[in-house]
This record gives sequence, C-alpha cells and structure tokens, in this order.
Amino acid sequence: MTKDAGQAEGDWSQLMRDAIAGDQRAYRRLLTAMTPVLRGLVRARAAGMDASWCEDVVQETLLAIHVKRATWDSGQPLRPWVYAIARHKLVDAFRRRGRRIHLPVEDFADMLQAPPEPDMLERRDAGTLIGRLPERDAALLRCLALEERGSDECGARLGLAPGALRVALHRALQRLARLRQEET
Amino acid sequence: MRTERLIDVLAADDTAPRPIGPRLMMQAGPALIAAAVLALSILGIRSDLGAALANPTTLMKWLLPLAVAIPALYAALRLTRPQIRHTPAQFIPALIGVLALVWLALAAASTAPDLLWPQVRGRTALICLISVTFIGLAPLLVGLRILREGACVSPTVSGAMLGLASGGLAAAFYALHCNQDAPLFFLTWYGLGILGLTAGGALLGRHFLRW
Repeated sequence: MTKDAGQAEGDWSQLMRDAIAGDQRAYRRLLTAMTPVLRGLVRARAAGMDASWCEDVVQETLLAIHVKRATWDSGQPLRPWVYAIARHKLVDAFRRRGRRIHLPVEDFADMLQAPPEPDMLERRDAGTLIGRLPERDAALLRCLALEERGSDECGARLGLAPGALRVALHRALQRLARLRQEET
Repeated sequence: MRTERLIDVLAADDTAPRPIGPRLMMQAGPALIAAAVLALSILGIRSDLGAALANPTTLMKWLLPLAVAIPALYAALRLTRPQIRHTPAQFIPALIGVLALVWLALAAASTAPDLLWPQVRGRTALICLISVTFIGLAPLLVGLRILREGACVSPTVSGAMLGLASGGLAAAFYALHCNQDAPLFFLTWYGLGILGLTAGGALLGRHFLRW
C-alpha cells in the first residue's frame, strides 16, 4: 500500500509549486492524492474514534493545508510540512475531546493509506460550523460545499459576479478555518 | 460535507497565498519606524550621538538590543512554519540576556552600596520604560496580526520572539535619545522594557497565534 516515497515526494512538492503558481488542476490532484494518506494516518493515530470523527480531522487538516500554504518553503519537501499540519490538527482535535496524547513526529513518516468511508454524506459538524459564519459567507459555503452546486449557480443565487465570488470564497474559507480553531 | 467536495471548493479558491516574511517587514517595519519617529520627535536625539557611538561601553546600548532583536525576529519568522518546532536562533536572546545579567552583576559589585540605587535609577527610568514599551508595542501588535496567518506550533514562543524583536529594536531607537550611559541604568531599564514586551508578546501569542 505504501507508495514509493521518493517518487511521491517529488510529485507532491511539484504539484504544490504548480498549485501556488495558479494551476488549479494540479492543486486538486495534490489534495486528492493527500487525502487517503491523511485519512490513513489519522485513523492509525486515533484508534477507537469513529470514522466520522476521523474524517472531520482529515477535513480540518485539508482546510489548514489550504489556508496555511504560504508557510511552506517551496525549496523544502512538502511531505514533512503536511505531516506537521496533520499532527497539529490531530492533537488539537484530541485536546477538544479532553484527551491528551503524545504523538512523536517520527511516527508520521510511514503509514498506510486508507479508503474513504462510503457513507460519509451530510456532516453535522461542518454544517453547524458553517452556520456560525457571517450570513453571506455561510450562504456561499452552504451552496457550494453542502448543496454541491456549481459556482455559476451559487453566484447567481447570491448576486455575486465571478470575481466577487472568488474573493468571497477566499474570505469565507479563511474565516471557516479560524472558526474551527476558536470553537474549543 | 463530503471530503471530495471540500477539495473542489478549496481548489476553487485560487487567491494566491501571500508569504509571511515580506508582509511582516512591510507592515510591522513602518509601524516601528512611525512609533520611533514620533517618540524621538518629542524626546529629541542626543546631541553627542557621534561621540557616544565611538565609545565601546555606550555602543553596547545599540549592540545588545540588536543582538537580541535580530535573532528573535529570525526565529519568529522561522517558527511560522509548522514543521519547525524550535530553531537555534530562539536561544540567542537568552544567551545575550545572561551576558547582560553578568555585566549588571559585575557593575553592581564594583559600585559603592550607597550609590547603587541612585545609579540604577538614573534620572529618566520611567521615560525610558514608557518609551521603549510605546515604540515596541506598535510593531508587536501589527506583527502579531501577520504571524497569525502563519502556522506556529508553539504560539507562546512565537509571540515571545516577536516581543523580543520589537523590544530590542525599540530600545535601539530609544538609545538615539537617551544619554544615560551608566551600564547599571541601561542594562536595567532597557532590559525591563524588552522583557515587558516579551511577556506581552508571549501572552498575546498564546491566545492569538493558535490555529
């Protein structure tokens, strides 16, 4: 199951460089490739937690990777940076549950990938969090992420031109990431 | 929310990420300079600045704060990266602090006991403390807003490093005015001013730099 580390390393770092340069397809490929790895490591570290709790940590990690990507040094390999974020989010999630754990960084080096949960549809946590955003941010994310409508349709519904929608989406995601932090 | 859908939404946000280092310099830098110019325009610059800079003991009023501020600033920036849990630069300010304490102890030991407090107190202790805090608070608060966009895994340490950097730079600016050159005076009050901002940075960082 483990991929050839060297090969994957080159891929991830290059994909992120392309993504930061504005290549959305590369970015989507990168996030898609990361997700099973993140899922595997969260489940391995969080034995006893249910799958939806783990998936929530995976999503928080993806969101943090997104809003914090400026903190990656493009001259460095991406993987240690990703693991550091995942570890931080996992520790944070445990802390919120009132469980203290010790996670050595080295343990994150080799892990199995895990398949997605098939029945992971409406997530209550994400829904409640989105509900706590300012109304327009909430409406936009509800339309895009929960109802899964296209950006044209959401833009039309909220009266946002494509440029304004991009700005609004950026701001809404930044706020969502901050909310997840402040929710403790 | 399905994870695949989250990925779609994240990929749709193509606003380019902005590196933290340049933004810190471009925003906290002007805040520092504005506060320093304001303070110095009220207090004035010492008239014998050239002679002061030529005196090795007096020169320490700039060198020590800068030796604290520069590694601290570097450390604060390094520590915005999540995989960096600590960096050697963060220990340099502590080393300088120990050296300053040793110097302070030696200076105190070689001063007659009845002169000790008058020397430490000098004439402008309060103005010194207030000015260093005022000048340093501006870059500290602006800088914390920017570091918040980083991924600091030790928020307290990151905040303390920004406080040390702000305090050290503030003290170096204040030294352009201050003509109290007794080591007992400047080691005490510059040190306390810098420590105050460091404590403030640590407390604020602990709260604001979590993510």
